[in-house]
Amino acid sequence: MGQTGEPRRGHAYDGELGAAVARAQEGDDSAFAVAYRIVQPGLLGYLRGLVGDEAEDVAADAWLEIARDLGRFRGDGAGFRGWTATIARHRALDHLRRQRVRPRPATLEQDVLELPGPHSTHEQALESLSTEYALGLVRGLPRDQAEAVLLRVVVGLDGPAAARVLGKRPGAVRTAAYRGLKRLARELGVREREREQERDGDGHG
Amino acid sequence: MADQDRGGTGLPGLSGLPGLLGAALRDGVVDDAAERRAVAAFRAARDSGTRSGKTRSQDDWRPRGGSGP
Repeated sequence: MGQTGEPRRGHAYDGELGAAVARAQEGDDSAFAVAYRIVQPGLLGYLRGLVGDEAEDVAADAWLEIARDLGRFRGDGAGFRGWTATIARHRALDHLRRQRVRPRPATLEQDVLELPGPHSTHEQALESLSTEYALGLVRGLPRDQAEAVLLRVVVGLDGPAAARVLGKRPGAVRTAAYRGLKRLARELGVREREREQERDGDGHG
Repeated sequence: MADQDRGGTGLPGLSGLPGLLGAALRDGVVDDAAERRAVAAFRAARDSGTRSGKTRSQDDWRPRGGSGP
């Protein structure tokens, strides 16, 4: 904790994003579109991890709120990522609360087993990792770990910002991200081994 | 050496994983229709004057540090 002067804060686009947000706050709609295009891929990746196929709808709700409340926002490009992630998270949690009333069928688990090919290390597996496969892996994690991983590596937040989005201490989020990534690496390894064994012993059904 | 640990997670032995995972999950395709709806919402808020609200604590993401609050 206490490293507020971290030189590398998130993304290479943060300067451009901060400038776009400032122009959008003065009313420039093309600048708002620029900010949208920079932020949306990471935001959507985060939401897919939380709500799966409903991510586009939840993201659309989040953007309505972002558009409406933009005048309230204070901060730079990295801050905008954190602010928008917080809004998206609240919309996702609302969605999940509503969904508890009518549970949906879990189809992701099958997708997870669709491995991209014969690889010996997790890095090789990930080189050709599809979005669906990666998503299935992350969604298999405990929620706190999945969210920490998504906010750090998909949205691109630094530790303190991810902690603020989650309402937790930075140390707890760092630990959750670490455990999540370690578990993903382990699972990739295990699944690769199972795949290899299946290939070796083909015919067992 | 290329370090793809963009989040600076400091994970020994996992340095490539965060970057690869991030790239896989940010597939980068932005839906034009969704973008148009977001921009339309922005214009509507701007033109109706509802955009200017008071900054609440949850809206203040200015970096801390320096001379303090």
